[in-house]
Parts: sequence; C-alpha cells; structure tokens
Amino acid sequence: MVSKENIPLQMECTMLFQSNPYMIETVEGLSIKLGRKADDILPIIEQLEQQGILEMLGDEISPLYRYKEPKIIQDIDFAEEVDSI
Amino acid sequence: MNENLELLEELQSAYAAKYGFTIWLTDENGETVLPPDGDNELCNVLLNLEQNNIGTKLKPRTQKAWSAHTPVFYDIFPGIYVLTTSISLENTKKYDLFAGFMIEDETQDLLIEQLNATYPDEDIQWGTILVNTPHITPSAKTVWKDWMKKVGKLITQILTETTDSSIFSLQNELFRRGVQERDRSIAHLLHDFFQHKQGIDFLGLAEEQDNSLVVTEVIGEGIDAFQGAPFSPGEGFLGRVFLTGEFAFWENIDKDPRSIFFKRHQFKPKSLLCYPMKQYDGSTKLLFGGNIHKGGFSSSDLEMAKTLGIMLEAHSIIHHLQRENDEQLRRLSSLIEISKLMVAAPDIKRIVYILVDIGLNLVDGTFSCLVLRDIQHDKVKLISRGKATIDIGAYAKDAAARFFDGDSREKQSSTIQVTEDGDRVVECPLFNRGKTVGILSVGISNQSEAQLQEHIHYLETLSIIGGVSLQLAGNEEEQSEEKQVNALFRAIEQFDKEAYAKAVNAANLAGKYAMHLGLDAPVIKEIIHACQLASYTPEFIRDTFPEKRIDLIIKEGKALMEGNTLQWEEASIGGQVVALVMNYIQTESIEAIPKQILGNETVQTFISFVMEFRVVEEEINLDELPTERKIDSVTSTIKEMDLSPREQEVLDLVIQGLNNKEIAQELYISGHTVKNHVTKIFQKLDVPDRAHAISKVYQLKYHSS
Repeated sequence: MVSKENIPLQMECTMLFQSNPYMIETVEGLSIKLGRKADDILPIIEQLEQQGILEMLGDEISPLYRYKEPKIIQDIDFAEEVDSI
Repeated sequence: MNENLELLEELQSAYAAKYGFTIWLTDENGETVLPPDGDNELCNVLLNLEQNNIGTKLKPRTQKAWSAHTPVFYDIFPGIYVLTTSISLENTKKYDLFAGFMIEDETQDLLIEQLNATYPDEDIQWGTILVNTPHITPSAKTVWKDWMKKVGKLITQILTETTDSSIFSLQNELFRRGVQERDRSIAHLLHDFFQHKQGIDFLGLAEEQDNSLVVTEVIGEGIDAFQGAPFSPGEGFLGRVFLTGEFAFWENIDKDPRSIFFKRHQFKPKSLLCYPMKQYDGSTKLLFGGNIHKGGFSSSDLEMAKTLGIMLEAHSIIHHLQRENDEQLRRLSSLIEISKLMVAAPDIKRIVYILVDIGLNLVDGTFSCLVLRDIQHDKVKLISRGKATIDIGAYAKDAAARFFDGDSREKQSSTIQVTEDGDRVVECPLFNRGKTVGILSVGISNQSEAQLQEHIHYLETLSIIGGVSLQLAGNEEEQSEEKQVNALFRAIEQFDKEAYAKAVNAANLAGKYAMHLGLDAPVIKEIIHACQLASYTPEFIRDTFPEKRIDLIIKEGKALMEGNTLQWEEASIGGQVVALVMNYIQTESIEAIPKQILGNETVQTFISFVMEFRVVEEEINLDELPTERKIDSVTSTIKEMDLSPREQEVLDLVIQGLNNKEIAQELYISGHTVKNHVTKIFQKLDVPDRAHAISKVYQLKYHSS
C-alpha cells in the first residue's frame, strides 16, 4: 500500500498516463519525466497496476507500463439485461 | 521557597532556645543559608570577633571528615566545640548545619585564661559567659547528637520540598519539547527526562507488533539486555497493564515469580511501574520504569511517571494531528490540480476518465465506476475500473434506479451503500441545475469510519466538480449550433409549410449526394445546414453562425442557380451541391440544369446519382425528419465494427492519414505488426485498400447516424 504522503505523486502519474494513453514507459523513464526518484515511483506504479489503471507489458526484468482504458458498458436500460461491449 | 525558609527559621529559633545554642546553616560552598540565630553568648561573641576565621575553618571543602552523615563535635578553638552535621538532598545538593558553642566540663578556668590571653584588648566577662555556655557531658553528648540527627532529617524534608519546583520546570521543558519540536521522537524525550530525573534507575517502552508486544526502547542501569524482549498481552506485569489499560506499580518484586520474565533477560528490577499510553490510532504503548536498587516508590515518583506518560500521549496525539493536517493539505492541493485539469479538459471522455481514475487514487479504493445518464433515453453508460467483487453491471442498474428516479428533487448528497460482501461503496451524485447526471461510486474496504468520512468529502468535491465540468464540456460538444440550426429550420415550417417541405427534401438529397461524392463529414454537415437554411438571407446566417461557412455555401448556391454572377468552376464544392440540389428540388427535373454547365463532372455525377435515386425513391420515406442528426466521431463507428481493440486503434490512425511507419511509432509496435493489423482490417472490412477502408468507415458512420 502506498503511504498517504504519496497521493499527489500517484495522481501525477495517473494524469501523465491518462494524457498520453499510447505512451509506454519504464520506471526509469517515468522518473526522468516526473523528476522523481525511481524508488519513489516504483511502489506507486505497482499500486496503479494493482488498481488496474496501468498494465504491465514486457517481462518482469524490464517491465514497461502503459495506461489501461476503463471498461465501458454502454446503454444499460434500467430494466433490461446488461450487455457488455 | 519563602514558605520553606520561614519553616527553617522557625525550627532554628525553637531549637536554639531549647538547648541554648546558636544555630546556622550553610550550603556546600560555605555560603550562609540561615544566618546564626540563638542566645549562646560565647558563640555570638566569638562569631563577631572571628567571623572570617570561623568561616574558613568551617568551610566544608577543608573538612573532608564531615562527609559522614552522623553529627560530629568539632573543636573550633581549643576546648570550644561546635556540633555539625552534613545534609545531602536527592538532587545532589549538600548543606551543613551548625550548632554551638559548647565547652568541655571542668575546663572553664583554663578557657578564661586562654580567652583573656587571646583577646587582651576586649573587656569581656568571659567567666559569666562560660557559666551560661552548655557543658559537654557524656549524657548531653548523646542527647545532642540524637537531636542533631532529627533536625538534619527535618531540614532535608523541608529543603526537598523546595526542589519540587525544579521538577515542575523539568516537566514544563519536556512538554514544550514534546509540543514544539516535531521531529523529536519519543525515545529522545525519554532520554531528556531520564537525564534529569533521580529516583528511577531505568525507563523503557514496549509497543505492539503483530499481535504481541516488544520492548523497543530501554534507558538506564542493568536493562540493556531487555531491549527487544517480546511478550504477549496478559503476560507478566507489563502484559497485564496492556490488558487492563490502567496504570499500575509493584514493589519488592525481586522475589515475585512473575519477575522470572525479566531475569531471563538478565534484568533484575526490584520495583516496577507501568503506564499504558493510548495512541490516536487505537493502539497502546507501554511506558515502564523502576528501580534495581530500591524496592519501592515515593508518591512523587509515581505521579512523575504518570505525568511523563500523559505527556508522551499528548506528544503522540499532537504529532498525529499535525501529520494528518499535512496530509489533508497535500490532498487538497492535489484536488485543486485535478479540478484545474478537469475544467480545462478538452472532452467528456477525458473528464470521465479523470473521475474514475482519480476517484480510485484519492481513497485507495477497490474499484470505481461512473454511471452516466443519457437524459433523452432512459439508459445509462457505465465506465468502470478496478476489481469489483460485485457484478458491476447489475450494480450500475441498481444505483441508477436509486438516483435517477425522475423526481425533480433528486438526491444530491452522497450515500454509503453496503454490498452483499460487506464492502462499502461511496456513491456521490454528479449534478447540475438540480438534475442528477451521473453517479461516481468508489468501493472501499478495510478502512476506519474516520477515514471513510474523510474520503466521502473528497469524493463529493470531486463529483461536484465533475458534474459541472461535464456540463461545460457538454455544452461545447453537445452541438449547440446543431440545435440552433434545427430551431431555425423548424421555424420555417411555422410560416411557410411548402418551403419547409422542400428544404427537408433538399437537405435529404444533398446529404446523400455529398456522401456519394465522398466528402468530409464536416463539409457534408455544412451542406445539409445550407439546404435547411436556404430560405434565410446569407447575411442573417452569417450573423447567426459567424464561425461557419453556411452563409457562403448558400450565397454561392444561389449565385450558381442564377447562373450569371459566378462561374461554376470558381464555386466551392458545397456551393455546387447546394445549387444542383435546390435547382432539382424546385423544378423537380434534371432537365432544368443549365446547358452550359452540363459538361462539368460534378453535374454529370449528380445527374446519374439522381437517376439512381429516383429508382429507389419509393422506398425512402422523405417525411422522416432528419432532425437531431448527429454525426458521431469516427471512433465510435470503429468501435462498432468487429475488430480487435488493437485493430481499432490502427484503423483510427489509418483514417487520420498515418502511414504504416508512423502508426508503428505511435503505437510502439513494429512496422511488420502494423502491416499484419492493416491486412486483417482489410479482410474484415472486405476492402482492397486504405482508401476504400476509410470510405467504408464514413459510409457506416453516416448510415448509423
């Protein structure tokens, strides 16, 4: 769990990925982009992956991260069954 | 201090009178604390004559033998004695008490002789004085020594009480540090306290760790090995205090079987006290202390320990609140950043994503979702994120039913819904102008009531900003111009039904023809608008829609129809289409097309299109109003195709005019993969090349809208 002091950084990361949905980045790359230490960023990235906001590409040794779009279900009628797209 | 001094003076004068002595008190430097008082004439006279001499002789530093605490007789002059005792207090201060003078029995005559010889110039009746001076006899010696001991004890008592004020100042200092010095840890404060406090040999701290207790801090004599000792709640002395939550102390415990626990860690306390410090988060820390030499506590020791405990409790609460405050500020500033982003967000999609992602971020939730209402149809759209334990679709339906009940006084405050699994979901409505437009829901598990309340406030703020931002973005996106065009178009019907019917047909035909020509979506839209609004003057249209080219298209169309002011080739494609369509609708025949432009390609295409159109005309219901015709972005059309998400992304970029290499760069994939995707897309869409693929998407989009 990310400590509460890191919430601003967590939001910053989320907004960075959200603004660049096609961006694929390593933790080191993020640390350069955000001007923070990689050690500070790693737990946040893990948390965001856990929450499903980011997805990990590549392998465990050199992980790459990118934004994962939220799931969208359209046209739920109040009374009808749900059809997932 | 004054009060104590008075007591000492009272004591001094009472005993001086009783025994016929003159009594005085000095501190360890020989400075007078109580000036000599009493009716012992020998003493008073000699003190007067030999003040400096006596002072020097009685300086404690020169009299090492006096370090003994039993009263001694000291011969200050040959045959003349003073009784003295040393008094040492707990705070290491030392005092000396003197009572005198007394002479040895049967030495009177010798003394008179001696004194007369020493002070030949003084006219003093030494004989009278010596008669009244107490004589030392074996029995008197014992009585005086005994008395001196008691007085020494009394003075100790009185002077000790005066040192209480120094304890208060220590307490104050500790409180000040505890409150003001944020970074001072509890261990530091304990050390500060221990440095000043006498009467306790050791201090320590035990904290909760994974359902058991561990000694985390030790200070003092013989306790070092106790550091890190683990014990369970209820185990031994300390474990009991943890359970009862009340201050307790034990004396003479070296024989108590419960002290085996200490002995196992080479720690042998004789007395022990323990204060449970309640922490803000509900846990407990144990402060303990005691003696390894002394078997008991004075009441001031006990009170002092309690004060220390309370002070550390206060310290921890203050720091907790300070931390919480900092955190709130941090979160608040983040919220401000997010609000700025949301207000500046270019489209609804972005705002929705921010709400869902930041909702989850802010409260460290298990899942988040946004239920958006489509006001026109009784339907909702769900955007969700995270791992919900519940069926998110069913949940959205349920939430929608609860919030969107059609009542004008819809709920505008957040609620907490408890799922079947016992997880709590915070639901915050997004609303504007009294209308609920969506619900932001965030699942929260394993968080305290206080945290939950805090989160609700943040989420509520987020959802209010979200509601307003959606409305703002909606206004822009919601084609308010489209609505305006529609209103003006419908207005024609009120005044001229025939013109309206023609305009409906014209717009319909123009739309289809422009599609047939493969024009861009915005151009098609403008052509349709031009046909709908052709009854108005171009000047009026320009005033109403200054940013659009509708007026130009109408102007060109009309000029072309008149056929004399504007050359066909000089007009824009929009003007050409409008002219052809208007001409056709008004004359209902293609024969009316002026001969001079028949050779033109657009005109030829139009003629063949109309011929084709006539054949299927019967099947088209021209009465169907093309109102509210909404042209979605291409993306939504692509989403409806039977393509994988990656293929959809690739197709989107193909439409934007990117080549394979550019697509590869954009998506961080190889050119080879792009080629594969593109080939698959062509297969699925049943088209031979890019141009056809693009055309197919626009065709689908137009038909669906």
